Amino acid sequence: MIYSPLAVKICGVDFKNPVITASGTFAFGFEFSKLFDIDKLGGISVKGVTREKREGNPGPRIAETYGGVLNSVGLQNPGVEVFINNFLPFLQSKKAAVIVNIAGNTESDYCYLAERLSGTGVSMIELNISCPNVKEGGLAFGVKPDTIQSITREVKKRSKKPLIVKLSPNVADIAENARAAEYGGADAVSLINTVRGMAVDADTRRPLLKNITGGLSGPAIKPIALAMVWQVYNAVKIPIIGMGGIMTANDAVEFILCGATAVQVGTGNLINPLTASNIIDGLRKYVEKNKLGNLQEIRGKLLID
Amino acid sequence: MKEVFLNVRENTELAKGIVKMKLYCSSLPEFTPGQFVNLSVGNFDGVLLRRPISVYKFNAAESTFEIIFEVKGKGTTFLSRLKGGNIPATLFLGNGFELGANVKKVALIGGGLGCPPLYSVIEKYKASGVKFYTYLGFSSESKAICVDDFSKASEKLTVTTDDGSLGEKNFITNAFKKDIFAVNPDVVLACGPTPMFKALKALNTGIPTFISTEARMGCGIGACYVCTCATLTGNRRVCTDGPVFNLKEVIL
Repeated sequence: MIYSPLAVKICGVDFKNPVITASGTFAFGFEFSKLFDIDKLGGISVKGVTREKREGNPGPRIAETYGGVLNSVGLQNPGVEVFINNFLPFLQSKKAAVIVNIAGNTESDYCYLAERLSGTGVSMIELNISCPNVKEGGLAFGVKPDTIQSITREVKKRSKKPLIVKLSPNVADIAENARAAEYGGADAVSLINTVRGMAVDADTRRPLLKNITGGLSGPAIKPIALAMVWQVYNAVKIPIIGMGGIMTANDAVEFILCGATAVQVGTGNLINPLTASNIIDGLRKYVEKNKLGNLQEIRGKLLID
Repeated sequence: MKEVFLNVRENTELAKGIVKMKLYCSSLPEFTPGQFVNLSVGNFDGVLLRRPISVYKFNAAESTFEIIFEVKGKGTTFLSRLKGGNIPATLFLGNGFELGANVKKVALIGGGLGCPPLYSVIEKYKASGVKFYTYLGFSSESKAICVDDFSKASEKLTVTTDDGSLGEKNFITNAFKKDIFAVNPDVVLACGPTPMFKALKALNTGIPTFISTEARMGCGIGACYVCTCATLTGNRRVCTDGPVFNLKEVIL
Protein backbone atom coordinates (compact mmCIF):
# COMPACT_ATOMS: atom_id res chain seq x y z
CA MET A 1 0.00 0.00 0.00
CA ILE A 2 1.00 3.59 -0.58
CA TYR A 3 2.97 5.02 2.30
CA SER A 4 0.93 7.33 4.45
CA PRO A 5 1.79 8.84 7.84
CA LEU A 6 -1.61 7.66 9.06
CA ALA A 7 -1.41 4.08 7.71
CA VAL A 8 -1.48 1.21 10.18
CA LYS A 9 -1.65 -2.57 9.99
CA ILE A 10 -3.88 -4.29 12.55
CA CYS A 11 -3.70 -8.10 12.76
CA GLY A 12 -2.47 -8.23 9.17
CA VAL A 13 -5.21 -5.94 7.83
CA ASP A 14 -4.13 -2.68 6.18
CA PHE A 15 -5.89 0.47 7.32
CA LYS A 16 -5.02 3.63 5.41
CA ASN A 17 -5.75 5.59 8.57
CA PRO A 18 -6.77 4.61 12.11
CA VAL A 19 -10.29 6.05 11.94
CA ILE A 20 -13.10 3.49 11.95
CA THR A 21 -16.80 4.28 12.24
CA ALA A 22 -18.33 2.50 15.23
CA SER A 23 -20.97 -0.18 15.08
CA GLY A 24 -24.56 0.98 15.33
CA THR A 25 -23.91 4.56 14.24
CA PHE A 26 -23.10 4.04 10.56
CA ALA A 27 -25.50 1.25 9.53
CA PHE A 28 -23.87 -0.45 6.50
CA GLY A 29 -22.32 2.73 5.10
CA PHE A 30 -24.84 3.52 2.38
CA GLU A 31 -26.58 6.49 4.06
CA PHE A 32 -23.35 8.31 4.91
CA SER A 33 -21.95 7.68 1.42
CA LYS A 34 -24.50 10.23 0.16
CA LEU A 35 -22.91 12.91 2.36
CA PHE A 36 -19.17 12.22 2.01
CA ASP A 37 -16.72 9.92 0.27
CA ILE A 38 -16.53 6.93 2.63
CA ASP A 39 -13.53 5.59 0.68
CA LYS A 40 -11.64 8.01 2.90
CA LEU A 41 -12.33 6.00 6.08
CA GLY A 42 -9.81 3.59 7.56
CA GLY A 43 -12.57 1.16 8.36
CA ILE A 44 -16.28 0.67 8.94
CA SER A 45 -17.60 -1.45 11.79
CA VAL A 46 -21.08 -2.31 10.62
CA LYS A 47 -24.32 -2.37 12.60
CA GLY A 48 -24.42 -5.45 14.86
CA VAL A 49 -25.50 -8.45 12.80
CA THR A 50 -27.36 -11.46 14.22
CA ARG A 51 -28.21 -14.87 12.77
CA GLU A 52 -31.87 -13.98 12.14
CA LYS A 53 -33.52 -10.63 11.53
CA ARG A 54 -34.21 -8.59 14.68
CA GLU A 55 -36.81 -5.87 15.22
CA GLY A 56 -35.03 -4.26 18.18
CA ASN A 57 -36.69 -2.56 21.14
CA PRO A 58 -39.83 -0.40 21.11
CA GLY A 59 -39.35 3.40 21.00
CA PRO A 60 -38.41 5.90 22.24
CA ARG A 61 -34.92 4.48 21.81
CA ILE A 62 -32.89 7.65 22.30
CA ALA A 63 -32.57 10.34 24.95
CA GLU A 64 -30.13 13.17 25.48
CA THR A 65 -28.14 13.71 28.65
CA TYR A 66 -25.50 16.31 29.48
CA GLY A 67 -22.78 15.84 26.86
CA GLY A 68 -24.07 12.41 26.01
CA VAL A 69 -26.65 10.27 24.27
CA LEU A 70 -28.54 7.27 25.67
CA ASN A 71 -29.77 4.61 23.28
CA SER A 72 -31.66 1.36 23.51
CA VAL A 73 -31.96 0.21 19.90
CA GLY A 74 -31.53 -3.44 20.82
CA LEU A 75 -29.66 -4.71 17.74
CA GLN A 76 -32.30 -4.13 15.05
CA ASN A 77 -30.78 -5.62 11.89
CA PRO A 78 -31.83 -7.62 8.82
CA GLY A 79 -29.93 -10.82 9.75
CA VAL A 80 -26.64 -12.18 8.43
CA GLU A 81 -27.88 -13.55 5.08
CA VAL A 82 -29.52 -10.27 4.05
CA PHE A 83 -26.38 -8.47 5.20
CA ILE A 84 -24.15 -10.67 3.04
CA ASN A 85 -26.41 -10.56 -0.02
CA ASN A 86 -27.73 -6.99 0.03
CA PHE A 87 -25.28 -4.84 1.98
CA LEU A 88 -21.82 -6.40 1.85
CA PRO A 89 -21.29 -5.95 -1.93
CA PHE A 90 -21.67 -2.17 -1.54
CA LEU A 91 -19.26 -2.10 1.41
CA GLN A 92 -16.71 -4.20 -0.47
CA SER A 93 -16.82 -1.79 -3.40
CA LYS A 94 -15.42 0.83 -1.02
CA LYS A 95 -11.83 1.26 0.06
CA ALA A 96 -12.42 1.03 3.82
CA ALA A 97 -11.71 -2.14 5.80
CA VAL A 98 -15.00 -3.90 6.63
CA ILE A 99 -15.40 -5.04 10.22
CA VAL A 100 -18.53 -7.05 10.95
CA ASN A 101 -19.88 -6.67 14.44
CA ILE A 102 -21.68 -9.91 15.43
CA ALA A 103 -24.12 -10.64 18.25
CA GLY A 104 -26.16 -13.62 19.36
CA ASN A 105 -28.22 -15.26 22.08
CA THR A 106 -26.02 -18.28 22.48
CA GLU A 107 -22.40 -19.28 22.01
CA SER A 108 -23.42 -21.33 18.97
CA ASP A 109 -24.99 -18.22 17.37
CA TYR A 110 -21.64 -16.42 17.63
CA CYS A 111 -19.79 -19.47 16.26
CA TYR A 112 -22.23 -19.79 13.36
CA LEU A 113 -21.85 -16.12 12.44
CA ALA A 114 -18.04 -16.27 12.56
CA GLU A 115 -18.02 -19.35 10.35
CA ARG A 116 -20.55 -17.89 7.92
CA LEU A 117 -18.65 -14.61 7.57
CA SER A 118 -15.29 -16.39 7.22
CA GLY A 119 -16.39 -17.41 3.74
CA THR A 120 -16.95 -13.79 2.66
CA GLY A 121 -14.69 -10.88 1.82
CA VAL A 122 -14.99 -9.08 5.16
CA SER A 123 -11.74 -7.86 6.75
CA MET A 124 -12.35 -8.59 10.43
CA ILE A 125 -14.98 -9.78 12.87
CA GLU A 126 -15.88 -7.85 16.02
CA LEU A 127 -17.38 -9.99 18.75
CA ASN A 128 -20.09 -7.94 20.42
CA ILE A 129 -20.39 -9.35 23.92
CA SER A 130 -21.04 -5.95 25.41
CA CYS A 131 -24.45 -4.70 24.22
CA PRO A 132 -26.40 -3.49 27.27
CA ASN A 133 -29.72 -3.34 25.39
CA VAL A 134 -30.66 -6.97 24.79
CA LYS A 135 -32.01 -9.41 27.35
CA GLU A 136 -30.24 -12.53 26.21
CA GLY A 137 -26.67 -12.92 24.99
CA GLY A 138 -24.82 -9.68 24.50
CA LEU A 139 -23.53 -8.55 27.83
CA ALA A 140 -24.29 -11.95 29.41
CA PHE A 141 -21.06 -13.23 27.83
CA GLY A 142 -19.06 -10.08 28.42
CA VAL A 143 -18.99 -9.55 32.17
CA LYS A 144 -16.91 -12.37 33.66
CA PRO A 145 -13.40 -13.27 32.51
CA ASP A 146 -14.08 -17.03 32.29
CA THR A 147 -17.07 -16.66 29.93
CA ILE A 148 -15.17 -14.08 27.84
CA GLN A 149 -12.23 -16.45 27.49
CA SER A 150 -14.36 -19.45 26.58
CA ILE A 151 -16.58 -17.70 23.98
CA THR A 152 -13.51 -16.05 22.44
CA ARG A 153 -11.79 -19.45 22.17
CA GLU A 154 -14.82 -21.14 20.59
CA VAL A 155 -15.43 -18.35 18.08
CA LYS A 156 -11.74 -18.04 17.24
CA LYS A 157 -11.64 -21.77 16.35
CA ARG A 158 -14.28 -21.16 13.66
CA SER A 159 -13.14 -17.79 12.40
CA LYS A 160 -10.76 -17.45 9.48
CA LYS A 161 -10.87 -13.69 9.98
CA PRO A 162 -8.97 -11.70 12.62
CA LEU A 163 -11.15 -11.51 15.72
CA ILE A 164 -11.69 -8.33 17.72
CA VAL A 165 -13.44 -8.70 21.08
CA LYS A 166 -15.51 -5.62 21.99
CA LEU A 167 -15.41 -5.03 25.72
CA SER A 168 -18.00 -3.57 28.07
CA PRO A 169 -17.21 -0.90 30.65
CA ASN A 170 -20.02 -2.24 32.87
CA VAL A 171 -17.71 -4.71 34.61
CA ALA A 172 -15.56 -5.11 37.72
CA ASP A 173 -12.17 -5.04 36.00
CA ILE A 174 -11.90 -4.37 32.27
CA ALA A 175 -8.14 -5.11 32.23
CA GLU A 176 -8.79 -8.61 33.53
CA ASN A 177 -11.49 -9.08 30.87
CA ALA A 178 -9.09 -7.90 28.16
CA ARG A 179 -6.52 -10.45 29.37
CA ALA A 180 -9.22 -13.13 29.27
CA ALA A 181 -9.96 -12.23 25.63
CA GLU A 182 -6.23 -12.35 24.85
CA TYR A 183 -5.88 -15.78 26.51
CA GLY A 184 -8.93 -16.93 24.53
CA GLY A 185 -7.13 -16.06 21.31
CA ALA A 186 -8.51 -12.63 20.43
CA ASP A 187 -6.42 -10.82 17.81
CA ALA A 188 -7.44 -7.41 19.15
CA VAL A 189 -9.82 -5.77 21.61
CA SER A 190 -12.08 -2.78 21.08
CA LEU A 191 -13.32 -0.63 23.94
CA ILE A 192 -15.48 0.78 25.33
CA ASN A 193 -19.03 -0.15 24.44
CA THR A 194 -21.69 2.10 26.01
CA VAL A 195 -21.99 2.72 29.74
CA ARG A 196 -25.30 1.63 31.22
CA GLY A 197 -27.35 4.73 32.01
CA MET A 198 -30.81 6.15 32.52
CA ALA A 199 -32.67 9.42 32.12
CA VAL A 200 -35.88 10.42 33.91
CA ASP A 201 -38.39 13.21 33.25
CA ALA A 202 -39.29 14.87 36.56
CA ASP A 203 -42.55 16.32 35.17
CA THR A 204 -43.99 13.16 33.64
CA ARG A 205 -42.20 10.94 36.23
CA ARG A 206 -41.31 8.57 33.41
CA PRO A 207 -38.05 7.22 32.06
CA LEU A 208 -37.06 8.86 28.75
CA LEU A 209 -36.35 5.47 27.17
CA LYS A 210 -39.10 2.90 26.71
CA ASN A 211 -36.51 0.29 27.68
CA ILE A 212 -35.98 2.29 30.94
CA THR A 213 -32.18 1.91 30.84
CA GLY A 214 -29.87 2.22 27.87
CA GLY A 215 -26.26 2.70 26.83
CA LEU A 216 -24.60 6.08 27.33
CA SER A 217 -22.20 7.33 24.67
CA GLY A 218 -20.69 10.62 23.54
CA PRO A 219 -18.27 13.11 25.10
CA ALA A 220 -19.71 12.43 28.57
CA ILE A 221 -18.01 9.01 28.64
CA LYS A 222 -14.63 9.98 27.15
CA PRO A 223 -12.76 10.15 30.49
CA ILE A 224 -14.05 6.67 31.40
CA ALA A 225 -12.98 5.32 28.01
CA LEU A 226 -9.50 6.88 28.18
CA ALA A 227 -8.87 5.41 31.62
CA MET A 228 -9.99 1.97 30.47
CA VAL A 229 -7.88 2.06 27.30
CA TRP A 230 -4.87 3.00 29.42
CA GLN A 231 -5.58 0.17 31.92
CA VAL A 232 -5.99 -2.36 29.11
CA TYR A 233 -2.88 -1.11 27.30
CA ASN A 234 -0.93 -1.93 30.42
CA ALA A 235 -2.47 -5.40 30.63
CA VAL A 236 -2.36 -6.92 27.12
CA LYS A 237 -0.06 -7.16 24.11
CA ILE A 238 -2.73 -7.37 21.38
CA PRO A 239 -3.81 -4.17 19.56
CA ILE A 240 -6.47 -1.95 21.10
CA ILE A 241 -9.14 -0.09 19.17
CA GLY A 242 -10.24 2.75 21.43
CA MET A 243 -13.59 4.52 21.45
CA GLY A 244 -15.87 6.58 23.64
CA GLY A 245 -16.87 10.16 22.90
CA ILE A 246 -14.35 10.87 20.15
CA MET A 247 -15.47 14.05 18.36
CA THR A 248 -12.19 15.63 17.18
CA ALA A 249 -8.71 14.67 15.97
CA ASN A 250 -7.32 15.68 19.35
CA ASP A 251 -9.70 13.25 21.04
CA ALA A 252 -8.39 10.50 18.75
CA VAL A 253 -4.78 11.43 19.56
CA GLU A 254 -5.56 11.19 23.29
CA PHE A 255 -6.71 7.57 22.81
CA ILE A 256 -3.59 6.75 20.78
CA LEU A 257 -1.39 8.26 23.51
CA CYS A 258 -3.18 5.96 25.97
CA GLY A 259 -2.28 2.95 23.86
CA ALA A 260 -4.91 2.61 21.14
CA THR A 261 -3.68 1.51 17.69
CA ALA A 262 -6.86 2.76 16.05
CA VAL A 263 -10.04 4.52 17.12
CA GLN A 264 -13.73 4.22 16.44
CA VAL A 265 -16.04 7.19 16.05
CA GLY A 266 -19.65 6.53 17.00
CA THR A 267 -21.92 9.20 18.46
CA GLY A 268 -19.82 11.82 16.66
CA ASN A 269 -21.32 10.59 13.37
CA LEU A 270 -24.80 11.45 14.67
CA ILE A 271 -23.85 14.95 15.83
CA ASN A 272 -22.23 15.81 12.51
CA PRO A 273 -22.16 13.34 9.62
CA LEU A 274 -18.74 14.65 8.61
CA THR A 275 -17.10 14.00 12.00
CA ALA A 276 -15.04 10.94 10.97
CA SER A 277 -13.90 12.69 7.79
CA ASN A 278 -12.91 15.81 9.75
CA ILE A 279 -10.97 13.69 12.25
CA ILE A 280 -8.92 12.13 9.44
CA ASP A 281 -8.04 15.62 8.12
CA GLY A 282 -7.19 16.73 11.65
CA LEU A 283 -4.91 13.74 12.25
CA ARG A 284 -3.02 14.55 9.06
CA LYS A 285 -2.45 18.08 10.35
CA TYR A 286 -1.37 16.75 13.75
CA VAL A 287 1.23 14.49 12.17
CA GLU A 288 2.60 17.38 10.10
CA LYS A 289 2.64 19.83 12.98
CA ASN A 290 4.43 17.36 15.25
CA LYS A 291 6.77 16.17 12.48
CA LEU A 292 5.88 12.50 12.93
CA GLY A 293 6.84 9.94 10.29
CA ASN A 294 3.79 7.91 11.28
CA LEU A 295 1.10 8.57 13.84
CA GLN A 296 1.88 5.20 15.46
CA GLU A 297 5.11 6.70 16.82
CA ILE A 298 3.12 8.21 19.66
CA ARG A 299 1.08 5.11 20.45
CA GLY A 300 1.14 4.56 24.22
CA LYS A 301 3.61 7.42 24.61
CA LEU A 302 1.68 9.19 27.32
CA LEU A 303 4.21 11.32 29.18
CA ILE A 304 4.25 10.47 32.84
CA ASP A 305 6.67 11.89 35.44
CA MET B 1 -29.64 14.74 0.87
CA LYS B 2 -26.90 17.26 1.44
CA GLU B 3 -24.73 18.66 4.24
CA VAL B 4 -24.84 22.46 4.11
CA PHE B 5 -24.43 25.68 6.07
CA LEU B 6 -27.51 27.83 6.57
CA ASN B 7 -27.92 31.54 7.19
CA VAL B 8 -30.80 32.94 9.23
CA ARG B 9 -32.65 35.52 7.14
CA GLU B 10 -35.63 36.10 9.45
CA ASN B 11 -36.39 35.03 12.98
CA THR B 12 -39.83 35.96 14.33
CA GLU B 13 -42.08 34.89 17.19
CA LEU B 14 -45.34 33.69 15.62
CA ALA B 15 -47.17 32.92 18.84
CA LYS B 16 -46.18 32.52 22.46
CA GLY B 17 -43.03 30.36 22.48
CA ILE B 18 -43.37 29.49 18.78
CA VAL B 19 -40.67 30.72 16.39
CA LYS B 20 -40.63 31.04 12.62
CA MET B 21 -37.27 31.16 10.89
CA LYS B 22 -36.41 31.82 7.27
CA LEU B 23 -33.17 30.11 6.31
CA TYR B 24 -30.97 30.65 3.28
CA CYS B 25 -28.54 28.28 1.61
CA SER B 26 -26.62 29.10 -1.58
CA SER B 27 -27.42 25.71 -3.13
CA LEU B 28 -30.61 24.09 -1.89
CA PRO B 29 -31.22 20.49 -2.95
CA GLU B 30 -34.60 19.35 -4.29
CA PHE B 31 -37.47 19.39 -1.83
CA THR B 32 -40.54 17.19 -1.45
CA PRO B 33 -43.36 18.54 0.78
CA GLY B 34 -43.26 16.88 4.20
CA GLN B 35 -39.49 16.50 4.26
CA PHE B 36 -37.50 17.90 7.19
CA VAL B 37 -34.13 19.41 8.03
CA ASN B 38 -31.70 18.39 10.77
CA LEU B 39 -30.18 21.48 12.38
CA SER B 40 -27.01 21.56 14.47
CA VAL B 41 -27.22 23.08 17.94
CA GLY B 42 -23.43 23.25 18.21
CA ASN B 43 -22.57 21.93 21.64
CA PHE B 44 -24.85 24.27 23.51
CA ASP B 45 -24.83 23.65 27.25
CA GLY B 46 -24.14 19.96 26.83
CA VAL B 47 -26.74 19.43 24.10
CA LEU B 48 -25.33 17.54 21.13
CA LEU B 49 -27.95 16.02 18.86
CA ARG B 50 -29.27 17.91 15.86
CA ARG B 51 -32.91 19.07 15.88
CA PRO B 52 -35.14 17.61 13.15
CA ILE B 53 -37.70 20.24 12.07
CA SER B 54 -40.24 20.12 9.24
CA VAL B 55 -40.40 22.67 6.44
CA TYR B 56 -43.28 25.18 6.27
CA LYS B 57 -42.49 27.01 3.04
CA PHE B 58 -39.94 26.40 0.33
CA ASN B 59 -38.81 29.07 -2.11
CA ALA B 60 -36.47 27.80 -4.84
CA ALA B 61 -36.15 31.23 -6.49
CA GLU B 62 -34.96 32.83 -3.24
CA SER B 63 -33.02 29.70 -2.23
CA THR B 64 -34.74 29.90 1.16
CA PHE B 65 -37.12 27.87 3.24
CA GLU B 66 -39.05 28.48 6.44
CA ILE B 67 -39.39 26.36 9.56
CA ILE B 68 -41.64 26.72 12.59
CA PHE B 69 -40.83 25.24 15.99
CA GLU B 70 -41.78 25.54 19.62
CA VAL B 71 -39.12 26.57 22.13
CA LYS B 72 -39.20 23.69 24.59
CA GLY B 73 -35.71 22.82 25.78
CA LYS B 74 -32.07 23.83 25.47
CA GLY B 75 -31.74 22.87 21.79
CA THR B 76 -34.74 24.86 20.57
CA THR B 77 -33.79 27.75 22.89
CA PHE B 78 -30.40 27.86 21.19
CA LEU B 79 -31.98 27.78 17.73
CA SER B 80 -34.50 30.51 18.61
CA ARG B 81 -31.64 32.90 19.42
CA LEU B 82 -29.74 32.34 16.18
CA LYS B 83 -28.97 35.29 13.95
CA GLY B 84 -26.86 35.24 10.78
CA GLY B 85 -25.02 31.99 9.91
CA ASN B 86 -23.37 29.45 9.47
CA ILE B 87 -25.50 26.70 10.93
CA PRO B 88 -24.50 23.18 9.89
CA ALA B 89 -27.52 21.22 8.71
CA THR B 90 -28.48 18.16 6.70
CA LEU B 91 -31.34 18.57 4.25
CA PHE B 92 -33.85 17.62 2.92
CA LEU B 93 -34.62 14.39 4.75
CA GLY B 94 -37.33 11.74 4.78
CA ASN B 95 -39.84 10.62 2.15
CA GLY B 96 -42.45 13.41 2.31
CA PHE B 97 -45.99 13.59 0.91
CA GLU B 98 -46.45 12.68 -2.74
CA LEU B 99 -49.81 13.10 -4.50
CA GLY B 100 -50.76 10.88 -7.41
CA ALA B 101 -51.85 12.54 -10.69
CA ASN B 102 -55.48 11.45 -10.13
CA VAL B 103 -55.76 13.25 -6.79
CA LYS B 104 -58.01 16.32 -7.12
CA LYS B 105 -59.33 16.86 -3.58
CA VAL B 106 -57.19 16.65 -0.47
CA ALA B 107 -58.17 16.95 3.18
CA LEU B 108 -55.35 18.31 5.34
CA ILE B 109 -55.58 17.65 9.07
CA GLY B 110 -53.09 19.40 11.34
CA GLY B 111 -52.66 19.44 15.08
CA GLY B 112 -50.57 22.22 16.69
CA LEU B 113 -46.97 22.17 15.50
CA GLY B 114 -47.99 19.49 13.01
CA CYS B 115 -49.72 22.12 10.83
CA PRO B 116 -46.69 23.79 9.12
CA PRO B 117 -45.47 20.85 6.96
CA LEU B 118 -48.97 20.49 5.46
CA TYR B 119 -48.65 23.98 3.98
CA SER B 120 -45.69 22.85 1.89
CA VAL B 121 -48.07 20.38 0.18
CA ILE B 122 -50.41 23.20 -0.82
CA GLU B 123 -47.47 25.24 -2.13
CA LYS B 124 -46.45 22.46 -4.47
CA TYR B 125 -49.81 21.19 -5.75
CA LYS B 126 -52.13 24.23 -5.67
CA ALA B 127 -50.98 25.41 -9.12
CA SER B 128 -51.91 22.08 -10.70
CA GLY B 129 -55.54 22.54 -9.65
CA VAL B 130 -55.68 20.33 -6.54
CA LYS B 131 -58.30 21.57 -4.06
CA PHE B 132 -57.49 21.60 -0.36
CA TYR B 133 -59.94 21.30 2.55
CA THR B 134 -58.03 22.14 5.69
CA TYR B 135 -58.69 21.27 9.34
CA LEU B 136 -56.39 22.77 11.96
CA GLY B 137 -56.60 22.04 15.68
CA PHE B 138 -54.81 23.95 18.45
CA SER B 139 -54.84 23.89 22.24
CA SER B 140 -55.90 27.55 22.32
CA GLU B 141 -55.84 30.79 20.32
CA SER B 142 -52.49 31.79 21.84
CA LYS B 143 -50.90 28.73 20.19
CA ALA B 144 -52.64 29.06 16.81
CA ILE B 145 -50.25 29.38 13.85
CA CYS B 146 -50.37 29.67 10.06
CA VAL B 147 -54.16 30.18 10.04
CA ASP B 148 -54.12 33.09 7.54
CA ASP B 149 -51.89 31.28 5.05
CA PHE B 150 -54.03 28.14 5.13
CA SER B 151 -57.20 30.22 4.96
CA LYS B 152 -56.09 31.91 1.71
CA ALA B 153 -54.99 28.69 0.04
CA SER B 154 -57.83 26.35 1.05
CA GLU B 155 -61.31 25.85 -0.42
CA LYS B 156 -62.48 25.65 3.15
CA LEU B 157 -60.68 26.05 6.46
CA THR B 158 -61.97 24.74 9.78
CA VAL B 159 -60.22 25.60 13.04
CA THR B 160 -60.92 24.09 16.44
CA THR B 161 -59.33 24.66 19.83
CA ASP B 162 -59.37 22.59 23.00
CA ASP B 163 -60.61 25.58 25.01
CA GLY B 164 -62.88 27.22 22.41
CA SER B 165 -60.80 30.42 22.29
CA LEU B 166 -60.60 30.19 18.49
CA GLY B 167 -63.10 28.41 16.24
CA GLU B 168 -65.25 25.65 17.62
CA LYS B 169 -64.41 24.00 20.95
CA ASN B 170 -63.81 20.51 19.66
CA PHE B 171 -61.17 18.07 18.54
CA ILE B 172 -60.18 18.62 14.93
CA THR B 173 -60.90 15.01 14.00
CA ASN B 174 -64.53 15.47 15.13
CA ALA B 175 -64.82 18.55 12.94
CA PHE B 176 -63.44 16.57 10.00
CA LYS B 177 -65.84 13.69 10.67
CA LYS B 178 -68.84 16.00 10.11
CA ASP B 179 -67.48 17.00 6.68
CA ILE B 180 -66.28 13.68 5.29
CA PHE B 181 -69.26 12.95 3.03
CA ALA B 182 -69.72 16.55 1.89
CA VAL B 183 -66.04 16.97 1.01
CA ASN B 184 -65.35 13.38 -0.06
CA PRO B 185 -61.57 13.83 -0.44
CA ASP B 186 -59.45 11.51 -2.60
CA VAL B 187 -56.78 11.45 0.06
CA VAL B 188 -56.24 12.61 3.66
CA LEU B 189 -52.87 13.98 4.81
CA ALA B 190 -52.31 14.54 8.52
CA CYS B 191 -49.63 15.71 10.90
CA GLY B 192 -50.03 16.12 14.64
CA PRO B 193 -49.87 14.33 17.97
CA THR B 194 -50.43 10.57 18.37
CA PRO B 195 -53.92 10.94 19.97
CA MET B 196 -55.00 12.79 16.80
CA PHE B 197 -53.78 9.90 14.64
CA LYS B 198 -55.63 7.43 16.89
CA ALA B 199 -58.85 9.42 16.52
CA LEU B 200 -58.33 9.56 12.76
CA LYS B 201 -57.80 5.81 12.60
CA ALA B 202 -60.98 5.30 14.65
CA LEU B 203 -62.97 7.24 12.00
CA ASN B 204 -62.29 4.33 9.67
CA THR B 205 -63.01 6.51 6.63
CA GLY B 206 -61.85 4.09 3.96
CA ILE B 207 -60.08 7.05 2.30
CA PRO B 208 -56.32 6.63 1.72
CA THR B 209 -54.72 8.44 4.68
CA PHE B 210 -51.08 9.34 5.11
CA ILE B 211 -49.66 10.65 8.38
CA SER B 212 -46.38 12.39 9.12
CA THR B 213 -45.06 10.92 12.35
CA GLU B 214 -42.54 12.17 14.89
CA ALA B 215 -39.89 10.47 17.00
CA ARG B 216 -36.75 11.50 18.87
CA MET B 217 -33.98 11.12 16.31
CA GLY B 218 -30.25 10.45 16.23
CA CYS B 219 -28.52 10.83 12.87
CA GLY B 220 -31.65 11.78 10.89
CA ILE B 221 -30.31 9.99 7.78
CA GLY B 222 -31.28 6.38 8.46
CA ALA B 223 -28.08 4.98 9.92
CA CYS B 224 -28.65 4.73 13.68
CA TYR B 225 -32.12 3.15 13.90
CA VAL B 226 -33.23 5.05 17.01
CA CYS B 227 -36.30 6.84 15.55
CA THR B 228 -38.47 3.79 15.25
CA CYS B 229 -42.11 3.54 14.18
CA ALA B 230 -43.96 0.27 14.77
CA THR B 231 -45.75 -0.84 11.59
CA LEU B 232 -47.47 -3.97 10.30
CA THR B 233 -44.26 -4.77 8.41
CA GLY B 234 -42.02 -4.32 11.49
CA ASN B 235 -40.10 -1.45 13.03
CA ARG B 236 -39.37 1.21 10.41
CA ARG B 237 -37.13 4.28 10.53
CA VAL B 238 -39.13 7.52 10.91
CA CYS B 239 -36.30 9.61 9.38
CA THR B 240 -35.88 7.58 6.19
CA ASP B 241 -38.76 5.12 5.68
CA GLY B 242 -40.99 7.98 6.96
CA PRO B 243 -41.80 10.43 8.38
CA VAL B 244 -44.87 9.86 6.17
CA PHE B 245 -46.53 6.47 6.55
CA ASN B 246 -49.84 5.04 5.41
CA LEU B 247 -52.12 5.29 8.47
CA LYS B 248 -53.37 1.72 8.04
CA GLU B 249 -49.77 0.42 8.28
CA VAL B 250 -48.87 2.20 11.52
CA ILE B 251 -49.41 0.54 14.88
CA LEU B 252 -50.46 3.41 17.16
